[in-house]
Amino acid sequence: MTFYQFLDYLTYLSPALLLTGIGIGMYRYKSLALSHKMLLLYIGVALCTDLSSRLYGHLFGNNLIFIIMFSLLELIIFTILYQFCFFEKKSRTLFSLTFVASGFIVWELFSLRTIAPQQFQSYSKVMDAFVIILFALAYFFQKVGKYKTTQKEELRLNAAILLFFSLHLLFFLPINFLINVSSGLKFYFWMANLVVTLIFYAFINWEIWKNG
Amino acid sequence: MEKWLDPKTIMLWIIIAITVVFILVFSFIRLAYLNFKQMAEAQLEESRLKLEHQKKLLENGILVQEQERTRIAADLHDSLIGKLTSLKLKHQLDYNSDEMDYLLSESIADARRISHDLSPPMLEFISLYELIDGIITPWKKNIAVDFYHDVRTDVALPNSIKIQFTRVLQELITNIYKHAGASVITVHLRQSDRLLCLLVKDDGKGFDPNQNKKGLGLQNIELRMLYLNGKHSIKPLRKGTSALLLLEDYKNLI
Repeated sequence: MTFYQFLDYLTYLSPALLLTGIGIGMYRYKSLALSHKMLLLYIGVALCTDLSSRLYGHLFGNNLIFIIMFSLLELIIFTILYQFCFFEKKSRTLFSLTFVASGFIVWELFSLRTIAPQQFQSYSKVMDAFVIILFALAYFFQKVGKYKTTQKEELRLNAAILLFFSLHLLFFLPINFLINVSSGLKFYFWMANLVVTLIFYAFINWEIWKNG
Repeated sequence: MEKWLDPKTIMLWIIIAITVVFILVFSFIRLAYLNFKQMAEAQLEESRLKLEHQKKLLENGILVQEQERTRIAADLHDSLIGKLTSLKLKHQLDYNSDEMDYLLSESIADARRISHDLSPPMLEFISLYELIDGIITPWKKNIAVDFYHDVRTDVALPNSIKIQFTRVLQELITNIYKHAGASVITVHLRQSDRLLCLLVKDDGKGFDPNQNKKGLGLQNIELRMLYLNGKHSIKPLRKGTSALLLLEDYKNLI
């Protein structure tokens, strides 16, 4: 088995993990807090995007548009998660920023809809990850001095979100390079991204299990 | 040309990456600084509260001392001076040796009681168990007191520990008798090489632990235990109250 085949098989772990998370979430749904119901929704959306992008890619070859669609959904879910579940006081600035970022992603969704992979350079994922990073940092600033009264699980989840989206932002920034460069080097990057994503999904599953 | 080959695109990527990294680093430094500041402020506040508490305890100690002086003065005035005055009058009016003998014995007993109240006699040579027994005995006329003791060491306690423990016990029993409406008081004394423990329980009405205000008596107990570097806990039970005094490694005080 070559490295590329191994990488290809490894990608199937993503829907498997997401499906497991949904199973856990549905089993424990009644006892889940709103924040964890949002995480369940997030992995549900991720699973739908994963499966439909695989199908779309199989049928039409280019499924890059799903990155933009998923960015929009991800941004909306994390905005609700932070503004309604985590923040003590809703942040108007971050609401406005979410609105601007959503507008930008919708604009990119239409402008890059038919573009060839060679010209595909989307900043939607970067924008989405950047706003989520700001949410995570704002949450930490709100909690300064209140760590004793804050649930450790919430702080840990926020730290994981901050770490994951910081890496994701840096990874998806040179997306055009990672799609088009002919060198086999790019597969190591995709592999790293896959591993980080799988760890994050596993962490979310564990959080849902513990919360339920 | 593919986008990634365009220098403008690469420049944009670099600018975005540097900006994000800068924001992250700046935020972490700011968070660390704010945390450190908060911790320092919390420590300062804790020290201030501790000092304030100690000052209040000292003030209460002085107040208790004054109360004790007033009590002794009243005791002398009402019993001893009264008896001596009556003795003097009897001596002036009609000399009756039996009656005078009786009054003199009463006065001596009163003086002895007041003296013992101030400082137990032969403190050096008497054990804590005997001291406690001495305190409890007169109370048995008014309320049932069960005293259990388990002394597993020959180590002689210093006077400071004996006197503070007896004072606390006196305070506790007086409080129970006055306020708790209890029918039985149980006292457990346990002494080992490392640990000195006194547990006082009653079956009275207990108290509300949410009531923040402590009376002078309780503050006095706290001050005495603080002086001995001991621990104490007074908490309501399902029926009654329990007070635990604990002194670890008391040999260091000898």
